[in-house]
Amino acid sequence: MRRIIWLAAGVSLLAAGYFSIVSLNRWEWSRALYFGLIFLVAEIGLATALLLRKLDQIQHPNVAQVDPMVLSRLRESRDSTHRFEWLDARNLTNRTNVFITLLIGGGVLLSGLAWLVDRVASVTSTPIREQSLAKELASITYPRGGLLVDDMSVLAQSVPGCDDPQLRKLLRRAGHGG
Amino acid sequence: MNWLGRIGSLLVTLALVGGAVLMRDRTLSRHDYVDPRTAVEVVVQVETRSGERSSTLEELTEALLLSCRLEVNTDPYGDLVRLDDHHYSMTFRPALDRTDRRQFKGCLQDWTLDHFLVTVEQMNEFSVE
Repeated sequence: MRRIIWLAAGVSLLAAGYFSIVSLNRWEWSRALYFGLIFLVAEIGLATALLLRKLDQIQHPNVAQVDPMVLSRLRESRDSTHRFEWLDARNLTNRTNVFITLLIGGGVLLSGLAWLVDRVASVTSTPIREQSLAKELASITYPRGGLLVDDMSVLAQSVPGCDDPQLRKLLRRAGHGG
Repeated sequence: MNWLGRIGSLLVTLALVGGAVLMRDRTLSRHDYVDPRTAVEVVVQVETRSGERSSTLEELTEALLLSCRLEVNTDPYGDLVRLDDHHYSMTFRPALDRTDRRQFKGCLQDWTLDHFLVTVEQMNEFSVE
């Protein structure tokens, strides 16, 4: 964060200085004054920040200095755990880590395979396939009016002397004919 | 210092001197003779935002052109001409030399009037006689 502030102040100083000179060269006095003011503000801000930092260093001289002994103690006390130990071929004492790694890796591979199978299966039931299946099933669908004959057909059969072959056929399908 | 360092120092010195001469030539005000039978047409694009409601673009443009021409050696040669909603032109006589052109353009494009921005699009010089 502190570096960003220093960078912003530095860029403002340079840009304001540049545009101030450019504006002066173009005879644009108001713009030159404006950019000059920004330049001045950035310059004062940077100078103040530098002075404050220097004063802080004078007031607290020990803060900036690092005791090498303390530093070495800290580095020695750091946890020296060997990460990725199961990948180390020299370590033959503990093979459980390898087993766990294989188990987890195998689980990941199986999950990936299952996902792939699921994707392939979902592709087989596309709308076009469903449409063709519906077309094939149309030949074995029930008739639109249902299997039961209506009242008028029943009455027609009971009329004496009626000998309509179509009607007889229909009634036979419905289980009423003889 | 070896010979390489000397050559480097010489090159840096030459570059600095050349840059100073170039900057002097680019920035120094130098007035040349201008034929009084010449004129210059200045075409500007104008824009205003949140300005005074009583001031029209035409008034602002004319005021700026007439005040800026006092900084250079020229006089109005005709009235302000409205080209479209945001473009105006005005002719001045005599024409401007290089320094006056730069100064006139700078004055027009500077933030002289509040809420009023001018861009000089053309400065066409021509003979009047």
